[in-house]
Amino acid sequence: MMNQETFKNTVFVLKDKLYRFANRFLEHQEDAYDLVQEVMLKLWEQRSQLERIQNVEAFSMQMVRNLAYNKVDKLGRQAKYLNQLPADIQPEQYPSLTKELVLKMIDALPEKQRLVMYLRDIEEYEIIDIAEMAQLEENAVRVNLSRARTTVRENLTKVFEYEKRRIG
Amino acid sequence: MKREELDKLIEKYFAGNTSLEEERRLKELENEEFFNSLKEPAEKMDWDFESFLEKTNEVEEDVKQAKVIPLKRRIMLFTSIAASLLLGFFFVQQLIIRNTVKIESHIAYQQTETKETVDNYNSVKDETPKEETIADPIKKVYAPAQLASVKKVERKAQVVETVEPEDEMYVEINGVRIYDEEKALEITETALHLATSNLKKGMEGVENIKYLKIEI
Repeated sequence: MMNQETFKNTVFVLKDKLYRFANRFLEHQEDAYDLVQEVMLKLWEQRSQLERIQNVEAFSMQMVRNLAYNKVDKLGRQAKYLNQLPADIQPEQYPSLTKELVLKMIDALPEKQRLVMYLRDIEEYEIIDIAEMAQLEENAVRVNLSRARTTVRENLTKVFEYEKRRIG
Repeated sequence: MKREELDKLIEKYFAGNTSLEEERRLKELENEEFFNSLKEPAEKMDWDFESFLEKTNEVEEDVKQAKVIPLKRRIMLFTSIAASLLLGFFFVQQLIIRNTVKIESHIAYQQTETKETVDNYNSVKDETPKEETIADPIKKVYAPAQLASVKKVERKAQVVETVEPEDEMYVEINGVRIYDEEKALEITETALHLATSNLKKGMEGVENIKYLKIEI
C-alpha cells in the first residue's frame, strides 16, 4: 500500500508537468488547475493499485489528456490551441523568439504532432513514454516528431526574416 | 562544437533522431534562440502537498456523509411516503367500493320498482287493446316509448336521491362534501391516479436505494 510519503515523492511531484500539460488543452489556467486537482485525487483514491502500473507518470499524463478532451467537449469550449491561430502567426516587425511563441507554434500543429513535440521538446520525455502517453507506436512518434519540428521551423522562418536570424 | 558537427546534430534533430542528451546540448548552445527557448518549462502549479492532503480528507468525509447518512434518511423517507400512499390508496379504494355498493343497491331498488310499474303498465295495456281494438303494430310502437319514459323517471329519481344529504353518498375533500356523482367520481379518479403515479415514483426511489447499496 502506497503511503503518503511515497505518494508525495512518486505522484504528487508530477503536478507541475500535469499542470503544464493540462494548460496545453484548456483555455483557462483555473480549469487546468482544477483538472490536475481532480486527477491527483483520483490517483490518490487508486493508490493501492498504482504499484501495479508500470509507468505512473505516463499513466497520469494520459489521465490529464483524456480528462481534458472530455472537458473541452463537455463545455463546448474550443480547445486552447484552436483559437490562437492563424492570427498569431503573422510577420511581426520586432518579434522576439520566446518560449511562448514557440509553444504557440507547437499548439498550432495537428493533434498528434502537437502532443509529440510538446512532450519531447518541452517536457523531455523518452520516445517510449511518449508512445504510451499519446497512444502511438514508437515509430509513429518519431515520424510525427520530425514533421512537427520541421513545420515549426518553417513557421518560425515566416515570422522572422530568414536572412537575419538563423533558426535551427 | 564545430559548425559542421552542429549542423549534423541539427539535421538529426529535425529528422527526429536525436537523443534527449543531444537535445539538451542543443538547448544549452549560445545564440541558438530556438533551442534556447525550449529550455526549462517555467510554469509551476501553486499547490502544496498539505493542502492536497486536506482536500483528500474533505473528499473522504464528503463521501462518507453522502453515502451513509442520507441512505438511512432516504430509506425512512421512502418507506414513510410509501406507507402513507398505501394507506391513502386503500382509504380511497374503500370509499369507492362503498359508493359502488350503494349505487348498485340503488339501481337494484330502482329496478324492482320500475319492474313493478312496467308490469302495472303492461297489465293496464293488456286490457286496453281489447277494449279499443287498436292494430298490433301501433301498440308495438307505443310500448318502447312508454318504457323510455319510465326509465327517464327512474333516472330522475336516482339523481334526486343522490342530492339528498341523508343519503351519505359523497366524497369529502378538504372538509367539503361533494354529492354530485360525476364530480365525485372524477375527483376520486384523479386522486387514485395521483396515488398510483406517486407509488411509481416511490418504487423508482426504492430502486435507487438498491443501487446505492451496491455502490457501497
